[in-house]
Amino acid sequence: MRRLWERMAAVVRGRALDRKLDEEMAAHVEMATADFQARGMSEKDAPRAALAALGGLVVTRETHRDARGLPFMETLLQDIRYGLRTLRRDAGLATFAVLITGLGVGASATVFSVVHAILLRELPMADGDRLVWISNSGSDGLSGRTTQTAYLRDMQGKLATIGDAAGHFAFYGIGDLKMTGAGEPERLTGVPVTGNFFPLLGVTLQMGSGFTEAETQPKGPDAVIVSYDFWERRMHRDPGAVGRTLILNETPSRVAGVLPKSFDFGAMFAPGVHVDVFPAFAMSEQTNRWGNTMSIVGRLKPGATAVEAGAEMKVFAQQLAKLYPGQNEFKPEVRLLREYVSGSVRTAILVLSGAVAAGAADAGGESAVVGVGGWVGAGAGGGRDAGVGGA
Amino acid sequence: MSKMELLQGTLDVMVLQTLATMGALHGYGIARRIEQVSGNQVLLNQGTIYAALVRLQQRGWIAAKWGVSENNRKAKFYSITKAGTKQLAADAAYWRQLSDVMGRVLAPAEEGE
Repeated sequence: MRRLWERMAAVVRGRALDRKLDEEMAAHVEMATADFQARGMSEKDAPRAALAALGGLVVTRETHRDARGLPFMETLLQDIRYGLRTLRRDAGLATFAVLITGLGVGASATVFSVVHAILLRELPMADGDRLVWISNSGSDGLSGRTTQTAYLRDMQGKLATIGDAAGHFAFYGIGDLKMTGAGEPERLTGVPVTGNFFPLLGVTLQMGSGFTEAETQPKGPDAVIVSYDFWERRMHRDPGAVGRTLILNETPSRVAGVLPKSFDFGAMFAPGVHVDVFPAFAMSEQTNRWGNTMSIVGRLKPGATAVEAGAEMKVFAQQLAKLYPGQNEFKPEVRLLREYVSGSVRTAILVLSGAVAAGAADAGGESAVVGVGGWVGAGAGGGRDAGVGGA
Repeated sequence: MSKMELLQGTLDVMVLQTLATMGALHGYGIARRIEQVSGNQVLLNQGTIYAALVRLQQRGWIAAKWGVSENNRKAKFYSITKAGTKQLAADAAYWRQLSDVMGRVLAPAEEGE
């Protein structure tokens, strides 16, 4: 071990060691010269004989280097230098190889993160398999998938197959909330959620007990539940974060809780969206008049299936339609949330990941060809250098 | 008679033995001493001494110190260490045994039995 260390140090300190050796050999030659002269050799011949006995300065230095250092490491360094020279000479090719490899790696990483979020990871919630997605196929477009708040309010606790239902406001805008007052102002993304949204999902807050009753009522005080990332980034992991006030769109808002690290809203409901805060959303006459705004999630009662829930929900919706003739249409569709999250995009994602993997392998292969070419060249270069040294 | 080439590994033992009997010596002194003891029979490329010295030093069998030579020249002096002495004993036993075996194997038939 110590020897290896000394040898590696010797490679690095090569020049200093060469100088030391030169000094030592100078002494050697001088002493040998003096000896030869003492034995009767001329002043002119003695130094020559001394050098001959030593076997030449250059060869001595070389054998010394081999003995003290790591010959393979020195040739490796030479090879690397040669490889770099080759790359510089073919700058275009080198740039191409680097770019293509970078693209391959980047694309693979991106697609894998999506595959991981959507296909591989289990829903990060207690009993995630009993969560259902209740959408509305009444009309086209996003508002076609969403539902008026009155329907949500009415279905809560009234069904045999679905214990409870909650929703988030589907028409949030990225960066719609302006945070001021504490440090750097920032545009935040907030997704308004009903008071029972996180309890229904089975997400346990890391801190805080969530919205108060008053905060989920129309015209109640404003409150938000913050994401773990936001708590870490903007609240500096403050253990007293709950109860603090954030100024959002110039209105004070109480921090009612901090989400656990495992909860990623984007991964489930909106791939790619990074959500900072979840303001409380009140179900009222006013929000009902906004039209189809709710994305609804329900929790199946024990033993009930999504198909049964769908059938019951259909009948229920027809009853409600008679009750409120002026309301938007509600044609409910009930699917397991997990299938909703991954189902529609599953095939597309698998195809995409296959394509990217092939692309990355191709990129890897190409740069490997370039690399091996450089390596073979470097080997030849090393050989040439060795030839010169031995001559 | 032409001079003998040195067998692989023998130079290290010679250096250790020289330092063990002579005490601290510089490279040239070691080379001269080996040439003299061998009756000028070995073909010693004196430069190879320095490769042997650095090898032995890395193994911790000899130590080196800069000093002043008998004719007042700055020179590096080598001396054997405890580990080197132990190694020398082992190597010497090995070489004695080997030369003994070689001697017997190569002995003329009439001398055997």
